[in-house]
Amino acid sequence: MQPDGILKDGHFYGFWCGDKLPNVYLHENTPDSKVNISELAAGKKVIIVGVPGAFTPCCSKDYVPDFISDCGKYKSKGVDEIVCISVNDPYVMAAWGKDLNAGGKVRMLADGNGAFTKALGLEKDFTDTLGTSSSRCKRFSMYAEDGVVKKLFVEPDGHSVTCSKSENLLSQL
Amino acid sequence: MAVNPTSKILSKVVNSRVGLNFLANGRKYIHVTSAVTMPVKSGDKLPSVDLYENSPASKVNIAELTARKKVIIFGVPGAFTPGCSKTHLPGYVSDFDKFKSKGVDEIVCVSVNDPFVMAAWGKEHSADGKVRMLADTNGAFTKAMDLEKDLTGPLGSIRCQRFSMLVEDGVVKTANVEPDGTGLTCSLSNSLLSQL
Repeated sequence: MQPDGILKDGHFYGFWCGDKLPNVYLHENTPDSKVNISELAAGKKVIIVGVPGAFTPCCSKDYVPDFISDCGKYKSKGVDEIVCISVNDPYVMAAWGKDLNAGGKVRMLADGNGAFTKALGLEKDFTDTLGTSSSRCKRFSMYAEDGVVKKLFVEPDGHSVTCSKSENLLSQL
Repeated sequence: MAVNPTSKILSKVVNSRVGLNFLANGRKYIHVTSAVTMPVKSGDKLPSVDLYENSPASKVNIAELTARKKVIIFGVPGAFTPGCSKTHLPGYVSDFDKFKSKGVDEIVCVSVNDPFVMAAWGKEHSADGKVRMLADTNGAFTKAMDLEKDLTGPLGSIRCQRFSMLVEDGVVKTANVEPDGTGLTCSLSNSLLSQL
């Protein structure tokens, strides 16, 4: 099975529709507050959105705000939770969520050491755009039911906003 | 108490700290612990390393920034972390005028974060015009200064020990590195002010 979305040059991502979410811990607000993503998703309909970086212009201006403002629409389609992840520490993620008024709408979960990103096979070298030598997460959005991925949109170049935007994912539900 | 000549030798061992402990029977012994050293010290020249301001495209060479100027540089383990946010950064922002009156040309804050995060943190603390928020994105400056601290557990990566320093024409005049790398003692604004 292949992931949904636009595939470029035949590249196959490590993660596919039909796969079960990995059993990985993320952090919420502080390093002490662990959240196991597969436990979070168990028995629920969940949207997970991944971004290259908290506070980056593209992620901040429209991308995540769209998921926040579409929260009501997702809920009306039966979605239980919307989660945003990035390879940033939990303090940065919490501050970003506060800046975006995500409270009560999108949970900001930190993939501090990139374990979740790696498990999904969605790592990307963002040296050119962010200057970071350690990997960040490609931009993606997914819909999972009871921990199994049903829809997955990964940006072909890892950072543009095309197939993974909220409007597109919503139309697929 | 006279300095033990052995401790003089051991103190030069990398990553060691020598101390004297007293046993119950009154005998003294020297212990060596692998505690944090104070690698950056007075007389050191700043390395020629690029930091980033606001965006990855905006490079600032720290050696060039400090040439022919009196500059305060302080480093933190992480933008938006509690200690750094509640105490360390705000202290320097509010003491800006006091530093200026002592002839300081610029105050710079450094952390191993990307420039977008640093800019956002600075904005949250109204640092603009007072403290320049410079991103040591990949830790190159932190490494060159031998100020790395493994905070992989809580923060996911190697970060910078908390420190403050006064630099004149690119040379360190005073350096204060927190003994445990993260405490809020000697590197705080009021402490450095009293040293000027």
